[in-house]
Amino acid sequence: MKINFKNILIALIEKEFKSYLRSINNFMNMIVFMIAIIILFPLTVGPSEEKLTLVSNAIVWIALIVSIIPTLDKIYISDFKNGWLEQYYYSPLLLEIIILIKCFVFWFFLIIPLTIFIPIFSILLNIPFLIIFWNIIIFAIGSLGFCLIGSICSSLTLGTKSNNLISPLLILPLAIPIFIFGNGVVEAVKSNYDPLPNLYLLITVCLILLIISPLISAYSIKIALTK
Amino acid sequence: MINYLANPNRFLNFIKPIEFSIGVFSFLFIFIGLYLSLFNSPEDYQQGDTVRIMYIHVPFAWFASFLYFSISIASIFFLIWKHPFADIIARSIAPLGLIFSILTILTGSLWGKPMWGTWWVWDARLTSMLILCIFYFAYIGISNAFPRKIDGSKPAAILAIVGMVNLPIIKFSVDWWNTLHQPASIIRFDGPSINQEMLLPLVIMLLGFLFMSIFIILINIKTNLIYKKYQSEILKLG
Repeated sequence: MKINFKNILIALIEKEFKSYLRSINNFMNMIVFMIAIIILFPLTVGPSEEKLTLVSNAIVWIALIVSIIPTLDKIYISDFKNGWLEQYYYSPLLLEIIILIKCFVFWFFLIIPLTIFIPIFSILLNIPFLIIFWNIIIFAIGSLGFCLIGSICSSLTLGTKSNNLISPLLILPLAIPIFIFGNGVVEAVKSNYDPLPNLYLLITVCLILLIISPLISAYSIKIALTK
Repeated sequence: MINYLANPNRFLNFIKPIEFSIGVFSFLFIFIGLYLSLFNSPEDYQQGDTVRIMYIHVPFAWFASFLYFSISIASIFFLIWKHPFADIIARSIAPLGLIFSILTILTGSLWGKPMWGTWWVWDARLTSMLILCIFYFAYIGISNAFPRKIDGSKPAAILAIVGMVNLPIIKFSVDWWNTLHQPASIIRFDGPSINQEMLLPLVIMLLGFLFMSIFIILINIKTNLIYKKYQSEILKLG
C-alpha cells in the first residue's frame, strides 16, 4: 500500500472504528446509564406533568452529559497503555492531526449515535417537537466541543494514579460555555425568540476549541510520553 | 534580579532577613484595618452594619483571583524556561488561593443572606468565582495525582494557563450581565465611587492581605524546598 496522507487517514479511521466496535461494552454502559437517569428523575421529582415540563429538557441533557463524561477521559488511555501513542508520536504525520482525527472518530462513532435516543427520551418526557429538533442540533454541535475538551483532559491525566476523580473536575469548568449557549438556544425557542445568535456563539466556542484543543492535547501527550 | 533569585539557596538567603518583618507588617496592617473597619468607619446608608463584611470579602476575592493569575504567570515561566523553581512557587501559591476562594464564597454568602435574602444565587459573578474554586481544586488535584510528584507539574501548569480564561470573566461579569452582585466600585475608568472613609480601611486591609499572602507563600516555598532536598537526600542514600 502506498503511504500517503489519504491512506494513513483511512487506516487510522479504520483502526479507531474497530477498537470502538471491540469495546462496544462502553457504548452499552452509556445507554444503560442514560436510561437509568431518565427513569430515576420522574420517580424522584414526582410524576406530575407541571413539575416535569419545567425540568424535562434538563433531564435529557443531564442524562446525556453524565453518561458521556466517564468515557470522555478514556480517549487516549488504552492507546497510551499498549504503545500506540508512541507510534503516533514517531509517525511522519503531525500528532495534532492524529488527535483531531481521533476526536472526530470518537465523536462520530460514539457520540452521534446517541442522538437517536434524544427523540425517544423526549417523547417519554413530553417535550414538544420543535425543541426536540433544536436539541438534536445543539447536541450534535456541542458534543464535538465536549469531545475536544475531553481530549484535553484525558491527555492531561495520562499516567495518573486515579484519573477518575480529577477528570470531571477538569471537564466541567471548561465545558460551561457550551452549556450556557446550548441552554440559551432552547430558552430562545421556548419563548419564541430568534435562537440563531446563541447557536452562532455555540459554534464559535466549538471552533475555538477545534483550534486550541489539538495543540494542547499534543503538547501534554508529548509531556506524558517523555516521563 | 529574577535570574539572581531563581536559585533556591540565594532566594532563601534573600528572604531570611525580610521574612519576619513581612509577617509583622501583615499583622499590623490587618490589625489596624480590622479596627478601622469594625469601629471607625461609617455605616452604609442602605446596608447598615452588614457592610463591614466587605472589608474582608473584597480582599479575599481580589487575592483569590490575583493568586490564580500569579500561578498562571509562574506556570508560563515554568513551561518556557523549564525552571523547577517556578513550579515550586506555583505549587506553593495554590493552597492559599484555594482557601481564599472558599472564604470568598463563604463570606459572600454570609453577606448575601441579610442583603439579598438568599445564601446563594446562580449569578454570573458567583458562578465564575465557584469555577475559580474548582480550578484551584483541579490544579492541586492534578499536580499531586501522579506517582512521582514531579510528573504532575507540567500538566498542572497547562491547566493553570487554560484556566486563565476564567479571570477576565470574573472581573467583567458584573458589567457584561445584569447581576445581583453590585458592579465594580473601586477599579473603574472614572475613579472609585466608594466613600473615602470606607476606602481607607479597605486599602489598609488589602495591604495587610498582600503582606499576609506573601508571608504564607514564603513559608510554603520554604517547606516545599526542604521537602525537595529531603527527597534528593533519600535518592542519594539509595
